[in-house]
Amino acid sequence: MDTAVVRTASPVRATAVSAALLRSPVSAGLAVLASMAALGAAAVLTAGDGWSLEPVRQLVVDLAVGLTYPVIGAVVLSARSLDRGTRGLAWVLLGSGLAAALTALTAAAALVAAEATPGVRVLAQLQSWLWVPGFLTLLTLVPLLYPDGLLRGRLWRATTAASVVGMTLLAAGVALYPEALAGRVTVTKPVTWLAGAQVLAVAASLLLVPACLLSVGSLFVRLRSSEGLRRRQVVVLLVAAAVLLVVTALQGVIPAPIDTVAQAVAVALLPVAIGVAVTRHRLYDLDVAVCRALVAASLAVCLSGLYLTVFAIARAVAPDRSALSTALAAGVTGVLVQPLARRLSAGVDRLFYGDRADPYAVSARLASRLAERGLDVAEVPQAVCDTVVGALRLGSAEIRLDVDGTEQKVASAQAPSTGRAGPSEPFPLRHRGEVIGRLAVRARPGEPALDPRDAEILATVADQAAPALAALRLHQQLQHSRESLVLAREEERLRLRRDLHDGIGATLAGLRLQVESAQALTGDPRVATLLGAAGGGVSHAVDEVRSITDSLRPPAIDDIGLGPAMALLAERVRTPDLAVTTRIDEVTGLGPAVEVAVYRIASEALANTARHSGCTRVTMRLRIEGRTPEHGGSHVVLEVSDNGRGVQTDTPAERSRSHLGLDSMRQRAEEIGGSLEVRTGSGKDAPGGRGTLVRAVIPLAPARSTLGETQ
Amino acid sequence: MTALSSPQSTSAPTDPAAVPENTVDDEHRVPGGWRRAAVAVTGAIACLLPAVFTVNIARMLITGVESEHRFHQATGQGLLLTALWLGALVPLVRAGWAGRRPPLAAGLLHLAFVLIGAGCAAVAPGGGAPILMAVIAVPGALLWAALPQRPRLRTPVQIDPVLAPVALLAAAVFTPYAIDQIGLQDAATGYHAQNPHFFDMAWMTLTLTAAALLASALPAARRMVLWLALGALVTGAAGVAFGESTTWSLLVLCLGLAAGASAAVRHRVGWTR
Repeated sequence: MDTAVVRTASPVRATAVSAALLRSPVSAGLAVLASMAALGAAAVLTAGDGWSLEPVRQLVVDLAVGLTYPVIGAVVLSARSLDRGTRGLAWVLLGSGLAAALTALTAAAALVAAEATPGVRVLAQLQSWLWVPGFLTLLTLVPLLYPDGLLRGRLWRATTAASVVGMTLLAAGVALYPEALAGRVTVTKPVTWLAGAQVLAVAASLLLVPACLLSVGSLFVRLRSSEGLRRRQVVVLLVAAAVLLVVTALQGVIPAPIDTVAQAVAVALLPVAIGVAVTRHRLYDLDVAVCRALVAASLAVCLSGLYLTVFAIARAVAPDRSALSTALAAGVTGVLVQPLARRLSAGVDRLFYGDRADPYAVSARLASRLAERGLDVAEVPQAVCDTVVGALRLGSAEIRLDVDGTEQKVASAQAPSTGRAGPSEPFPLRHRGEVIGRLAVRARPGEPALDPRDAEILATVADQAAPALAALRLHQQLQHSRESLVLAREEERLRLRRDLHDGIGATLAGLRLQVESAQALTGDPRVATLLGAAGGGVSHAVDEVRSITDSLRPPAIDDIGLGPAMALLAERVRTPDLAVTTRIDEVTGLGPAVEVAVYRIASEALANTARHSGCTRVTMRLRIEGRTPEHGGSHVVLEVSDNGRGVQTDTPAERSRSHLGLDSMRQRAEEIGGSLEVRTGSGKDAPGGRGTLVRAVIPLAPARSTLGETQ
Repeated sequence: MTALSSPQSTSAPTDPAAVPENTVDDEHRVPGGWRRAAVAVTGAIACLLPAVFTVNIARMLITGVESEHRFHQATGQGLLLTALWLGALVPLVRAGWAGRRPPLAAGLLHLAFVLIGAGCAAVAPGGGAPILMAVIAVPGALLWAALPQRPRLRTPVQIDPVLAPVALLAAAVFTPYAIDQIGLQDAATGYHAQNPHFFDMAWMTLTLTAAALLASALPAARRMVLWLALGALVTGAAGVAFGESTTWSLLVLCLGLAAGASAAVRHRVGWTR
């Protein structure tokens, strides 16, 4: 089967290569030409026994550039769907590589020549300036164009122009400079002009120095201003450039010929990095290579450090037995290679992919988060999203629950730096066979889709979180039912109160008047006594009806309105030692349940203030606020603040008292979808930093009653 | 209606992979009067010597007393040593006073500081080093005994691929140096025998190495690499400034820069990932 696969793969691959070459035959041809020139230079040096000549050391770098740059340029140009800027970059790579290859070839021929014939002198002249476009483009045009063309702005166009003009002037200047080539024989150039060369060189440097600085600076500008894929592309080049910089700085420290080879390899890294960055569109496969490289580099440094440390200790213990020290250091290092490599690899995996390699760790962390003390059931979805994004370093996560037939987003989390968002993949949240919602996750930035290992873990997380989310949904449904019941209760109480007050109460009051009138009119004392008794009975009934209607709802709300009723509450607690300030907005259109809740909470809060706080000043505010992110629709806000001693919880009695009062107020707010907050030590009226603020927020549009309309 | 709120956490979510130094089970109890007094007294005794030493050495450094030893005054026999010393003690005292469990990094640093000092004193006992270590260790032990909660030393081990190379490089640089210093101390006579700054330099460099190794191995102690960064930068800069071996000083400076860079990478990725 493998053989069959190979047989069918080979023709396919050959066809693909041919198609790629045909897309850009010119670039392919130039790349071939450059490669042949570079290889020709190597052949000339070999044939002419020129490798030992001193100037050949510089040629090695030219050979590396001449071989790699044109090939990478041609590869990039053969890719599909390249933008114009990237094409320009590829042509620059191709051109500079070709120039470097020709430099190597002409220099090699001139160096190994046995005599300075006119042809050899021409070659010497050519090699003296061809290195300019072969080398300086790497410091000017390549950074300017990488990865997808020039940055916007006149500055960068001017820099490009200055680079091109500067390189042209410099090439002309060095071509005319009367410097002889010291090869097997000394070769002088046929055409020289010292004065002209000096002028041209000065002019070129005036253009090229700032152009080089700006060009390199443009990379950092791109780095700062880009994100996601583009940023990763710039980072790839900067890493390769940093390696080249370090190797160049170490020239003279590293022994020859290793220094030359190292520099050639470092120079060759640049086009490879450029080619990979611009052709591997999302760089996701590069992560694997980077991971492996990081593990290898880390392991190499660790082992080196370990070896040197053990060697130093062993030598200190046995200074006369350096062989033993060496063996011991090598042995310890050897023993630790595999376990260290394993742990470093796991560490790198954690850096890149989070806990993907350890599904148990993800589950354990989610379980730990859900088991945290004080975690509210409403915070569970956010905890799940945070765990998914944080532990697995994914792009984003979102939980949507089916609530009363509609899907509602209840929580989301996003990684801090996310490039282009990938597709979202949903994971069903199943509880007792029913799909109660979805966990939607996006892959890591740069990845086209979720890795199967991530998907496996996320399925487990979804299964683990589903019961808790089902509990949340049930809690929500219960809350809805409770609100509906409370609303229905208050509406029914309002109806009853009105019926009793306007119906039977009025009837009884009228009856009492009639009885009293009849008693006043009759002359018969026995009749008067009977009527008196009947009138007393009717009065008692009237009082009972009034008592019942008063207990159904605070009468002041219906008699004078909520605002004045609350002002009356405040008036009742005012004393010479307690100043009460009220700021009550005109609130209309509140439902009966909201009115009662606001009134009762205010009554309780003022009573607590008067009885327990020891304050001298209390302020009550009532207002309606519009829609906010925190509270959704419009809501009524009640605040009661004082400058007292604050909520005391030092003794059990105090704790019990405060809890009962606060619990009662909180229940009244929550049973109609509101919330209550009590803060001690934050009252604006509290000069000593103490004081209490009770703040109730109640929505204006609670759920409709499920018991039907009131009559 | 109670909102099924949809808050969007766009900032970095709470890292669930974080290994907390103090678990959610730790109770924060305000210690009683006697306990606080014990922490205060033992803490004061333990911190007295390094505090006085810091002031004295700073005065010598500024006024130029014994100017030929300025390198040691700035580093191993001076400010860097006392920084390590107090850097370990102060968090322990503060946590003990508040009733909290002290951070693991502080506990480990203190233990490493004392144990390495004791080890170096055992190998190079000249100049009163063993007595000095006893003066340091006993108040330190009393402070640990007085703490209402001790640092949780049992913690998972995870080798960090960014910090481990730096730590082992530090070991490779500082271990031979420390061995040399101990050798010099053993062979010292006269003033240098009585004033054991070779021993101090070995002690200080090995403590920095231990801090880096612990940071590379323990997720809860990753920030200890900052001690290596600070110590190596100060030592390298002082070596260059006060005429020590240029090559060694530059090497240590580069080590400090590498440690700083690795700390920056760690900070960006997350200290406990």
